[in-house]
Amino acid sequence: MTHLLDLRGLTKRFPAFTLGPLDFAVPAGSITGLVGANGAGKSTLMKLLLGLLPADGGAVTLFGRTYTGAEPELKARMGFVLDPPGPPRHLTPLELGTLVKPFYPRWDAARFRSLGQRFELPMKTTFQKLSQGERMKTLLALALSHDAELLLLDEPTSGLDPLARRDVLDLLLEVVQDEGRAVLFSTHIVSDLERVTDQVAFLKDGRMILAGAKDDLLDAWRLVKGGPELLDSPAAARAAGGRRCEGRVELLCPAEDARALATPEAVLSERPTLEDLAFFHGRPLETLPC
Amino acid sequence: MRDLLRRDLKLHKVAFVLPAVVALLGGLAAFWTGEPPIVFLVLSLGVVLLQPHALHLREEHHGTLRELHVLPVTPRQIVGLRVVEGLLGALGVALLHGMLALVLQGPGVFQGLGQLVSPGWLWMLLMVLLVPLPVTLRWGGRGWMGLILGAFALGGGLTMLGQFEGALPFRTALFRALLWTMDYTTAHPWQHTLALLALMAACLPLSEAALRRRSL
Repeated sequence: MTHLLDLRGLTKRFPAFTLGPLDFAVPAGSITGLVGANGAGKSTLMKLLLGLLPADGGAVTLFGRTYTGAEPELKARMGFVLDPPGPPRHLTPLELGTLVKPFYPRWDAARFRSLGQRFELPMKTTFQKLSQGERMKTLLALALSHDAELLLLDEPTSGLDPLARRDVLDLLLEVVQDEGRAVLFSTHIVSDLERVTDQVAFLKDGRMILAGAKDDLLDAWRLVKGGPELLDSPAAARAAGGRRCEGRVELLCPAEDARALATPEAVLSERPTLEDLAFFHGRPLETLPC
Repeated sequence: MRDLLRRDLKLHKVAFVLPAVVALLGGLAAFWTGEPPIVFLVLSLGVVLLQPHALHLREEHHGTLRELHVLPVTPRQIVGLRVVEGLLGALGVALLHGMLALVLQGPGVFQGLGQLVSPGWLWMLLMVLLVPLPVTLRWGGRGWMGLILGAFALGGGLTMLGQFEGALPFRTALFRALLWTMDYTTAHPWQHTLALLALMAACLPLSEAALRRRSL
């Protein structure tokens, strides 16, 4: 399997926060979701991947090469959406397209126009006068118009209404129809991940706590619900997280442990959702609210 | 490079107005005051050579610096852009002043070509554009605050140095070495120019390294 993006021990240290070491790969033809709370390190990771932050350790390999000596070529093969401030605010989407066009050898003006129409973008309104959703769509149109092979999108669906969000997600699915392309996007909206991702990576406090194919991850875990007697089982001690609420206990356990726990009649064991994984994993029993 | 220059022109039209006005006023002032045109040319060049720094700080202030960095260009090209902007600005000012002097004061106002090929221009280019460039690229506005404070501290320190004459053990050796270098290079124009060019050349990789260390 070809990896368009490969991280090996990638580390970035700040005075009060360390990201990594991260080991992770994004295969061609896939959509990978990056999930994490605010401050987990998602945007920092995106910036490291785009060369906006110097790494303190490890390596980033893009299309099988490192940035050294190949920076423009690699960047031309990537599209991105970053968190604000974004592009110059006094320019219109049309002018922004004209501004970046010379830097991308594979810029497709017709595609930019058609994406503008598809997203119903006011192409002659300045960026600062666009709504949050229109701004995001402008950034997406810019990212998708130069035939990028790898899209790095930081919260691309934030600020979008449900219809627009669905449209953007459908567009991402269209992008990876071409097996040579891949998308890595971060989000808070876990339902977006359920809908489109092949791979998911969970970041917490700068560490990647879970990563892998979405279905494998969901199959590997069970959400076990029952009475307080659940906690008496030795398997409960191996739970990755859980909560106690009004006499009921919910535990996120490895699937093999769930079988051991699921003996009493009152116990319910179910496949977790990605939201369950994000919510419970790494949270000790007493720390989560009911 | 051409595309980067076009981008800057498109994004920072307003920022180009001030140095253009200063250059124009400088050229006219030479006529009004009757002072040698070279005086105003030096002042205008000083302002114009600060322009690349101003552009970079403006990018930082408006949040477009990150957009510049994610374009498929190398840090070396961004350093080159700033240097070229400085050189083009300097050339533009020199031409403007030259033309104004010709039109308003007639030929012969620059007393010989010696004035125009003075190593002073290289010093100016070095000290105003190239030496602070790594600071601008690495620390942006904060770097300039540091430079200004550093200049004040240095000025203050030099002013007070006289009071401590003989108290600093390194003073003699260091100052003698500095004075000797200055004497030697100013007395030997070729060596002087070559040393300046070497210093200028050293600033470029330093600027590139500074830009690579920048966190955006």
